[in-house]
Amino acid sequence: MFINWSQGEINLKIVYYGAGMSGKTTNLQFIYARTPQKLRSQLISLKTHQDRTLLFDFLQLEVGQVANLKPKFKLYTVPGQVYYDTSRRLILQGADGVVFVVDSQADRMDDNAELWRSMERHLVELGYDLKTFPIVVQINKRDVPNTLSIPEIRRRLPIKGYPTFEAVAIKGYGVFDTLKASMSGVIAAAHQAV
Amino acid sequence: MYRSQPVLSASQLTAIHGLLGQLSQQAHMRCAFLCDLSGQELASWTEQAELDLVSLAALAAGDLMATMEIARLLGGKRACNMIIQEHDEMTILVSRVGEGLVLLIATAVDVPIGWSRLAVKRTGERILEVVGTAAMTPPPLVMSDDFVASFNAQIDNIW
Repeated sequence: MFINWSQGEINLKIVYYGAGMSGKTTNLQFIYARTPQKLRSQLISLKTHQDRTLLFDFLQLEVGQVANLKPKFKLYTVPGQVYYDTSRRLILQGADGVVFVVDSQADRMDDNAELWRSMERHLVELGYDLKTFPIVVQINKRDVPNTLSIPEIRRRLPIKGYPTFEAVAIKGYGVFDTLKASMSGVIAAAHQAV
Repeated sequence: MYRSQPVLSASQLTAIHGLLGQLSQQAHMRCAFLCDLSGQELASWTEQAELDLVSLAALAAGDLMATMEIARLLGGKRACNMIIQEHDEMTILVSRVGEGLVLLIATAVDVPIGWSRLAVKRTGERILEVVGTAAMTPPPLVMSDDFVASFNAQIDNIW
């Protein structure tokens, strides 16, 4: 969080975290497409030749004046493949909140679980308190074959107690519910901190 | 407990703007820019009115963090973190300032790299003096109690 007191701006960072191909970049692409131009920056994507996220995607959102402040949100994604663990840790630095994107397909649960563990480990190493850090869970790809039921996903992943949203990010379902829940959580935490 | 991060006061930011402005007067500077390692832009001086500072901050921080991680994996012990890019039209230097800040300058190609490197180092030290001497505690409360409710109503109007 960075507060520019002279201009009344509060800058907050939300990181979309999750396994490779779970839909993190798709979330940002949909948000970019459906947000008025005056309220968003360019969508920056650092991709490999195979069109996979190499370091991060980045998008800034503004929401206008709220009371006496102008909140601005920096949305980042992390690369999802297992071997980019170091990059994910770098992107988490300075985060004010995380959206964890779960791939609903049965054969991706091990990847989801591994990425959840890595997220927790990185957050702890970076000095965050997991009890109070705002994490929102998006259960994505509800429209594809081989998806597990929501109760089964809750049983397989340690997401109990976190705000959870079902989504089909490629069609936009659940994208803004997730985003708004994360923004609200981050703002509430910032309110406590300031 | 919420993880605390530095909060700069208006007077600190004004002082940092002044330092970047001074830097720009000493040589042919395209841009002088300060952000933090999480990619938040803090202060800038630029001769290019339409420069995308938001994207610049995210990319400069990502670039420096990736370079620092390469050094760490190779066993490097940090004395100074600096990335230098030499282009046909300009030279770009990205440097870590203290533990959490990033200073980027872009100079015309006729500015000697040695001078630029020294200027970045000295400006970085002066920025640290500004950040370090002033209080790092937040100014008085400005987020009113109904701020969260107002915020939630606002984002429902947008999306």
